[in-house]
Amino acid sequence: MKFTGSKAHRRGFTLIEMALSMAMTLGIAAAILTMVQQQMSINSAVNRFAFLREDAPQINVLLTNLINQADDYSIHTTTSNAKAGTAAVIDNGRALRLRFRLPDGSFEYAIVSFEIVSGQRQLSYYRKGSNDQSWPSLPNWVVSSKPDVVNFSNATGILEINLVGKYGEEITFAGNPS
Amino acid sequence: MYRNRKHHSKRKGYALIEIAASYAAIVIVGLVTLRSTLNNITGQQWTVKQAMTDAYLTRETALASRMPFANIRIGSSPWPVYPSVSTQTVVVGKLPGGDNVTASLHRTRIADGNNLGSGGGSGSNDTNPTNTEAWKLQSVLVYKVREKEYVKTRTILRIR
Repeated sequence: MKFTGSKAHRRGFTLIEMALSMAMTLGIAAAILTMVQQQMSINSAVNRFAFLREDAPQINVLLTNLINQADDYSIHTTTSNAKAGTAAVIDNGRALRLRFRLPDGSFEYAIVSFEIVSGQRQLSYYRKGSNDQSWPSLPNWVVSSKPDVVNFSNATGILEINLVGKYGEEITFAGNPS
Repeated sequence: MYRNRKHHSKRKGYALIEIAASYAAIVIVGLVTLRSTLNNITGQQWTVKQAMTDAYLTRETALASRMPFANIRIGSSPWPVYPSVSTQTVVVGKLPGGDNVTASLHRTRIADGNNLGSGGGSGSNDTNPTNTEAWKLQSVLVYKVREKEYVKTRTILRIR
């Protein structure tokens, strides 16, 4: 068996070199894993603020525009009570009934209610036009499905809408009909 | 033989540099990621507090507009006559987990210059024959985002 000069000097890695490279590799892998885990936990923390950051202000703008156009409101315990105009309360209401006076003197109504539809909590909007005989059975549209609880209150003399997110975050908006 | 050994030791040196470079790259990537994340979180805190304080001030505006005029000008008015200022700590909202977010609310009311003397002004029956009385109700909300302090104010004019 002949060895050429260059091949004779080729040798494998020593145990120390192998151990060192494996330790380095493990160190790098651990560092990357830690960074990924950290990033994921921070992303999760950031996502917990999504309701306060994105949804609540949008709901506020929408409801404020709606309430500003109304000339009267009442607060009720449930959607069905709001439709019937019964069981009005000043606090812990789940449905807000709004009345809009039209230019011809007639009225149309709207209900913004927090309710559970098909197992999903949502803030719904119902509309009853001046020529409609009854309320629609299903909401005309869903304002948002993000709040965990919505409380309508008039305990302080002004309309307050308290929005609670699913992580216990809370924000309260207030307003008066025009 | 000597040349080969030298060449081999050079290769070892390169390996050390490569490992050091990869560690440095990881540290740099980690720091950049951390910094951008911290920037995001700071921006988020700012946005959330803006939303909460804006919401709280809708309450102040609504209260100042709706409160009976007689209750505004009595001694126990929530808006005392300037330069007196009422100060209270208020909860403007709750963070995920239920922690309160607080701010400092300052209220005062400023008489219109043409109010009669009884209304805090210097007007007379000549300048104000209908005894019109006007007050500016001012609410100032002071809150902090990290170490920076911010101020928001709303002023409502009430006239009778």
